[in-house]
Formats: sequence, C-alpha cells, structure tokens
Amino acid sequence: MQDILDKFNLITRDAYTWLPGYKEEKGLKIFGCLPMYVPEEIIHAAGALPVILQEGNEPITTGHSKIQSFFCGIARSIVDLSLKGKLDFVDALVSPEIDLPINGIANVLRINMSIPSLTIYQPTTCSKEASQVFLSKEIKRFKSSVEECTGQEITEARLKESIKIYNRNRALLRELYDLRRVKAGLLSSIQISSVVMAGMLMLKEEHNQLLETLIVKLKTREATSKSKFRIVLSGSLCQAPVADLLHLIEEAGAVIVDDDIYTGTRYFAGDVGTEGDPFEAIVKRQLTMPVPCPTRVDEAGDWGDYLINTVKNSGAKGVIHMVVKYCQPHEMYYPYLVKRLASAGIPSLKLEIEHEVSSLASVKTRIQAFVETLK
Amino acid sequence: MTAGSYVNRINTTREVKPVIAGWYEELRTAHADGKFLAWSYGPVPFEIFRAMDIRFEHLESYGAYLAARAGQEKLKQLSESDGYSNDICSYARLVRGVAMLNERGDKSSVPGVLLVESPDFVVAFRQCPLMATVYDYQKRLFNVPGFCIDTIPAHSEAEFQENLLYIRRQLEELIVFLEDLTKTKFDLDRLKQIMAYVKEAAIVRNRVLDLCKSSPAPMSVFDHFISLGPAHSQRGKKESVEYWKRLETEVKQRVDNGIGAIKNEKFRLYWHNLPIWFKVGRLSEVLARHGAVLVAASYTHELFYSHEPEKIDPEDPLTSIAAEEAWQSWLAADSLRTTEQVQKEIEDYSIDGMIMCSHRTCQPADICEYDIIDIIGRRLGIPGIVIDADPTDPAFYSDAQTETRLQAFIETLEAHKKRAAAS
Amino acid sequence: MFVIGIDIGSLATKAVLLNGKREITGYIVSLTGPDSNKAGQMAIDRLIKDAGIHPEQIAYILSTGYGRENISISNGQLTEITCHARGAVHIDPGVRTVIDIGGQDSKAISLNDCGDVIKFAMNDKCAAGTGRFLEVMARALEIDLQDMGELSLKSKQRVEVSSMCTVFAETEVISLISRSIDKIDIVAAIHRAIASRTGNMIENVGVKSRVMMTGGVAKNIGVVHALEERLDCKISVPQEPQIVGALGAAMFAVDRATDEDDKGSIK
Repeated sequence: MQDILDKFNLITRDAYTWLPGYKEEKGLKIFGCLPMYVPEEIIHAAGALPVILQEGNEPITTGHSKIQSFFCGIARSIVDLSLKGKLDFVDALVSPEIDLPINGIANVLRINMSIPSLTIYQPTTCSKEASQVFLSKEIKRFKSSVEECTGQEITEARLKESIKIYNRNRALLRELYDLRRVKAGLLSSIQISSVVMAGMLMLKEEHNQLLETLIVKLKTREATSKSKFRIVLSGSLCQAPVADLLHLIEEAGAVIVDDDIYTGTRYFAGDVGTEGDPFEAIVKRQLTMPVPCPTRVDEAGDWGDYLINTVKNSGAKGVIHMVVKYCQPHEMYYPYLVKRLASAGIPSLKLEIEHEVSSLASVKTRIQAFVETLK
Repeated sequence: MTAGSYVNRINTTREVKPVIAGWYEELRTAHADGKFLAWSYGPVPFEIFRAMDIRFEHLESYGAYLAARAGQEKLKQLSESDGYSNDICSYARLVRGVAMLNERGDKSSVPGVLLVESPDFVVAFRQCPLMATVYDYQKRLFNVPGFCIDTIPAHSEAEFQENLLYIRRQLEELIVFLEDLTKTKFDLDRLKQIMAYVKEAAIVRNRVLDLCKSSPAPMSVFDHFISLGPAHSQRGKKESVEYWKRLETEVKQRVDNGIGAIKNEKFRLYWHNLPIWFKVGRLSEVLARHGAVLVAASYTHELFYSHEPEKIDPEDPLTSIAAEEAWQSWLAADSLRTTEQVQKEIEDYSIDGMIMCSHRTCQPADICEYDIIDIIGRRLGIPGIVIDADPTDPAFYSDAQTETRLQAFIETLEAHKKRAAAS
Repeated sequence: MFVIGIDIGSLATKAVLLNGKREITGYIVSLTGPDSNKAGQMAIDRLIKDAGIHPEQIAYILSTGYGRENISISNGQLTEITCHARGAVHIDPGVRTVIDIGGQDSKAISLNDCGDVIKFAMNDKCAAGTGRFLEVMARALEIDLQDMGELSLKSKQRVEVSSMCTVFAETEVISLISRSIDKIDIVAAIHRAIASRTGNMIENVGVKSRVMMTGGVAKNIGVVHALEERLDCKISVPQEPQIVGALGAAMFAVDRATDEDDKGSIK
C-alpha cells in the first residue's frame, strides 16, 4: 500500500515534472484543463488524456509581466509556467471560463502560446430552461472542437464507456472518503489530497486500479486518530490546499474528516447518468452538481445548508475555510457561510492560501488557537 | 475656465448632478410611491424595468456615485467588519455597506449619502462573473425573489450568435418572472418606444464621440465619464436623447470655433478600463497641465450601445437588447478582440499613447493589459503605461505615484515626438 | 507551590509568577532579542531570584506567544489568544471583548459568558496599526514615543493620514509636517489611523461590553481614546496591560499543576 501512496506523492509533488514523462510513456495527447468542472469524459472518449492543470511549486517571476499580482495564485502560476516553457507538453488548452482569473489565464495563453485553445462554457444559472437548451448545444460544439483537435470521432458508444470509467473513479473516491469519515486519520490529509489530485493527472483507468488496491488495504486498517477535534475543510477553490497547512492542522491536534474542496468532494460528487443519450446525461450532471459553488447561481442548492449537513454527517466540530487569496467568489461568499454556520452553532476559522507562502508561525498560532476554542 | 485651470470643462455636464440626485430621490421614495424596487447587479436590461415602471438601483452606478461621497469610508468599514475582504470588488463593498445599514435600520449615520431602501427583488446580468456571486449571496440575505441572466464569454462570431439566442431566451423568461412578481402585464409597445429612444440617444452619442476625432479635441473623455453617470438610470427616456443633443450642439460649436477641451493640446491619449471615479476631476487637470487630453476610452467607446446603434430595431426590442449584451460579453471575454477595438480607436482618434488603468479590485478589463501594450506597440509604435488604481477605493490609490508615472509617460511622449520631428 | 506563565513576543518577553492561591507574586518585562530561548530562560531566572524562591518550587511553566515552542524549560504551551483571554477574565470577569495591540501584531478576541474564546481575529501581516507604526511616526515627528498619547488628546483640527502602509504613511506624515500642519493634529491623525486599521478587525469579531485593551500599546491613552471613538464603546485598560498574556498563561499553569484533567487545557 505504501508504494501506491508513494506513487501518488511522487505525481503530485511536482506535477509538471511528472506529466511530460507520463505523456511519453502513454503516447497520448494531453488536454490541459483549467479548473473547474470541465466534462473530461468527452476528451477521454476521443482517446486523449484530460489533466487538470495545477498550481505550480515555483515562485512567480516572468508571469507578473503578463498578469497582475492581485490575481489568484493558480492563475499567475499557470501563466508563469507557460511563459517558462513548462507547459510545452500540453497539446491543447481547455477553458471552462468560470470566472475572471480563469478567463484571464486562457486569454494570456491564447496570445502567448501557440497550442489550440478550446472552451466549454458552463451556464452559471442551472435551473433555467434556457440554460439547459444552451448547454445541450454547447456540449455538442465542444465535442466537435475536441474531435477536430484529436482527429478522432466521439461516438455515443465511446462516450458511454468513458462515462462508466469516470463514474467508477468517483465511486471509488467516495468510498475512500466514507472510510476516512468513519476511521479518522486513516490517511493523513496530505495523503488523501494527493490521492485525489493524482487522479486529476493520470488516466482514470489506471487511477481506478490503484484506488481499488488501496481501498482493500485500508479496509483492514484502524483509525489512527483519536482526536475529538474533527474538522471539515471548506473551499480551496481551483487550487489544492497547501500541504504545510494541512500538516499544521493535524499537528495542532485536529483531524480532517470531510471536505467540499476541489481536490476533494467537489470533484467527485455526483455521477453522470448511464441511461439514454450520454451527451444529455453530461449536460444534466453539469447543471445539477451537488456541491454549491460561488461561481454558479444554484437556485436549488445553498452552500450554507450543504456545509451544515456535511458537518453534521461527519460528526465534525468545526469548519476551516481555506480561502484562496484574491479568489473573489469565495471571499464574497465567505461571510455568508460564517453567518449560516454560526446560526447552527458551528465554529469556523478562515485560513488564507497564498501562492507566496509567508510565515507559517502566525498560521500555526491561528490554527492552534482555533482548536483550543473547540470543546 | 476657472482661474489657474487648464481644463475647459463642458457646460452641459453640469446638468448631470441634479439628474442623478433626482434619480436617487426616486429610489428612496419608491415604496412610498407604490413602486417595486429592484437591486440590480451588472448591466441588466434596464429598458425592461422602465417598461414595467419598476424602479431599480444598479450596483455599478451606485458604487460610482458613492465613490466620491464622504460617507464611503464608513460604508466600506461596515462591510469589511462583516468579514468582506478588502480584495473584493469595491462597488460590492460599498453597496453591501448600504444593505447593512438597512439591515440595522440605521438610515441616519452616513452623511452625504442618499440611502436606497432594501429591494423587493434582485436581478443580475453576469457580464462580470462576480455580479452573479454578489447577486446570489445578497439575494439569500435579503430573502427576496431574484433572476440572474447568464451570458457566456464568447470568442467567435458563431459563439456570439449562440449567446445572443441564449440571452434572448432568458429575457423572455425574465419578463414572465417580472409579470408574476408585479402582477402586471408586460407592455411590449412601451418597450418599443423605450427602445426607439435608446437608439436615438446612442446614435447622437456616437456623433458626439466622432466629433472628438478632430484636433484640438473639443471634449475630453473625463467629460464623457461624467455624462455617463445617468446612462443606466435615464436610459430609454426622452430626456436622455435631449441631453445628448444639447451636448452635441455645445461640442459641435467648439469644433467649429477650434476650441479645445484643454488649453494647449499636445498629446492625445487613450484610457483603458473603468474610470477612477473619485479622481476624474483631478486627473483631468493633471493631464491637461502637461498638454495631454483623453480623447478615447474603452468605457465610453465600447459600452452603452456604442456599437452600431443604427442597427437597433425598436420593433424587436428583445433581440436588440440581447445583441448589445452579447456584444459586451464578446468584448469583455476576448482580449484579442479587445485589442482590435483598441487599435481601431488609436487609429481613428490619432492617439499618441495609451493609459492602461489596472484596477486592484475590478479585474475584468485588467486581463491582458500588458499584452495589449505589447501588441499595439509592435503594430503601431504607440506606447502605453499601466497605472495602479481602483474604481472607488482610495486605499488602493496614490496621487503621488500615479501623477509621477503620468508625468514621466508624457515626458517620454515628448521625447518621442522630438525624435520623430528631427528624423 | 508556584507557577510561571511566560509570554515570548517578537519584541518583548513577559513573565508572571503566581503562588498556589493564584496571586501575582512577581512579574517581569524584558526585551526578547534574537534568542528567544535565552530571553525566556533569563526572564524566568530573574523572576525566581527576585521572589527569593528556589527553582524546585516551580510546579509548572506554561509558555505562550511567538516563541512559545522555543523555551526548552517550558512544560506546556498555549496560544496567546487563549492566554490573553484567560488573563483578561481573571482581571475582570465581566470582560467580553479583548483587544491586544502589540509591537508587531494585533488581535481581537470575543468571549462568551463563561470566559471562553468564541471568536478571534489576528493581524500579523502588516505593521500598520501596531506599536511599530507608532514608533516610526514618533521618529518622523521627532516626538518621544511615550508623549504621543497625551499629545494626541490636545488636537483641535482633524487631518487625515490615509495610507494603508506604514512606510507610505511615514511619507504622508513628513509631507504634512512640511505643510506646517500642527504636529499635535498629525499625532491625533496617527492615532485615528491605528484605530481605523484595527477597527474593522475588532468589529468583525464583535464588540460586546465590557471591552478591555491589553498589550504595550494600551499604555498609549491616545490609541485607547481613538478606539473608543471608532468603536463607540468604553475601553478599560488594566494597570499592567503588557503582562495579561503571561498572567493568563500562569493561570493555565496553576490548572495543570493542581489538576491535570482541567477542562480548559489542551494536552
């Protein structure tokens, strides 16, 4: 089991060093997808490998000549990496254009890189009939652009096959999370994060195999944490939470039992239906994602309700909001979440994630003080 | 001209302040007058509200209005103390402050600010993606019905057309929503009349813009920013047509008599991005002192139906509205398209240099500013600088820093000119 | 039995000696310097010597503050949030909001009726609104730091210092001086600026009576006054505001020395 965890750690520690080698090994075209919500199954069905582009590890230098320093870390990082040639292995860029920085990345890369740039627009409002009509057309348009890029037809049969594989992946990740909820500390939060993130960077078929083996092994393990300070991690939109912060949370005596983060529940919640037209099934999933998002207007859901339920279902004592600095959608929604949680008697802490990691000492104090307030 | 001033301010713009004050008075008394009050986020179809006699507050207009008021610091403090980070859109922080005063039943504590009551419903148009977020969050706090019109950041003619249809469909849904809410029947004829005024006003406004192609420029973009203050609130009214006609007369007279917007025009500049609402007057003087005048801007030349208004068909108002919204989305989303637009204006208006305003909390037009400078520089040899500002938040603005940069930029334009003359 | 609570800040080290009856038997404030372990050890040694007791009589040493983990001699540690709250409540059981403005950071803490921390906020990224801000300004104005507070109360005219950043604010102050603005008015403006910087953070945590200010800057009556104005509330300042954190730490030390399963402690 350790070898599987080591492999995931190797992949996620520096995705941009690992990916070019993986690409060569598999001989696949790589579609670099900007976060979040790109319907990867369509790309997979064309025989290409969709990967979710991650924030890089390097300090941002050249990138600041093309994008201002007050855009979120992942936007600046991806721009920076592309200018330094670190994204040259990417064969096509896919942008969901869900908000300004993502749109920003796509625009800067369109001007400064010569790879094909595809878009798949997500309706922001999910419950309207007009949104449904729009997305049905849009998915077909995206399909055509992927076909053009790969020279491969995406048939319904192929898509159904890809959907099956992706649903299996989501189910396995859910099973992993179920295990962790019951057996606190089964894996450290850094390990769990790398399990999910690794899946964003490799073929889902392979990830599934590794997950299956991992889960079998984990079922025989006992919980390693007796901490009563059970925490739900919320937010960390588009970017993975910083490993150092996860470590500090556990060091302070708390244990993370659930989340709604992108390299977590947000990614694998909700399956694509397997009946009928697979393209329509994808449309349906895009419009009914279970985890509310501040980049979408979800008439049916409420992020406050969702978080409260998550806390209750996982027996958690508090929430740690990981707010990516300069992520305006999250920053705007954050006070509302605090109010909702407070009215349900759930304490919470805000941690800002910056690309440029400043002193961890003050963050450590904050986390420890928060844990000290939990009873 | 006031003593010591280098700026020859347009007279007609003096009409703007009382018009805006009157508008906010109408919003303040909306409920007392038995009208529905909406709070809107983004360039929603005001024409439709007007056709249904619904009064509307508009986030960006209100934010711009509040920017220059003494009470704005208090409003920002309120929202920041509520946990709203100061990285957030400054319009949103200001207006959230107003919402909080309403929540607390506190109408008196912010001097010089006309407070608008809480709304009966909220509407958004997702021109800027954050408008949808503010709308959604605020809707849950107000606990009122709401409607968000979605738009996609199109990148091609085909996508633009698809978006147009998408928006149009939603406009129809919006009307059903409004009918349901207000229990009144939507009057299409009224909207057609409103659209006719919108068309006429836009055509006249474009003529005013065209007059600024002459040298010396008769009017500066700063005057135009002021004129746009009531752009949303007065849209579709006969009065707005008349304003632009009066403005056109004054400007035309200046052109006929060779009168410029500033004392001694040496450099014609382009301004990219939103105005700095609390520095319009001051920057106007600062630039004028160095012989520089703003003659074109993205804000004035690309929004408010400036694109082909003669094609507006008042008989099909929903398509006309959707077309304008879709056009905005295309420009906002696609930096290459924006670059083409910038280039066109530079050529049409004989621009010597570009000021790219980089707004700290208002990101949409910040995207690719550096690239636009590079591309235009390569294509036309026209230079540009970036200045750091914010539409309404003085905490992110420094007079000294900005004015030094502007002066230095103009000095490089001087040197550039001298070199060109010598060769 | 005696215990020690020691608060090692980035600038100053404070230690409090309590006896078994939770009475303050001695306290010390010294500079931390570059070696926090050494500073902590020296403060503890001094405290013991001045009280005329033996090291073996110290049942428990609890450390807090920035350097809390660096003290090799400490038996346990808690954050300064928890300790400031505990210290404040010991001084005044009715306190519900604690504002601590130190040399380089500031915090706001909200307490419930049991004296437990329910919410807190920290500003530790930026010097504006801290003791450092005052130091820089005092230097620019060529006024003694300890005179700043009293002077600010004499101001007759309102001017503004609006820069968010200490460095730029210094430039602003110098520019005001060169325009012959009365120094007293500038001093008042500086104090309002501090209140403004910390005001939002404090309101975010919630201002509930009674409000107490702790930390070195609480000795500056100008800041207290400016904060009272900004927050529209009365603020009390204990006799020795700088030692409140160490006092709280010492209180927890007594808990741990007398009853290891105290519900207030984290192991």
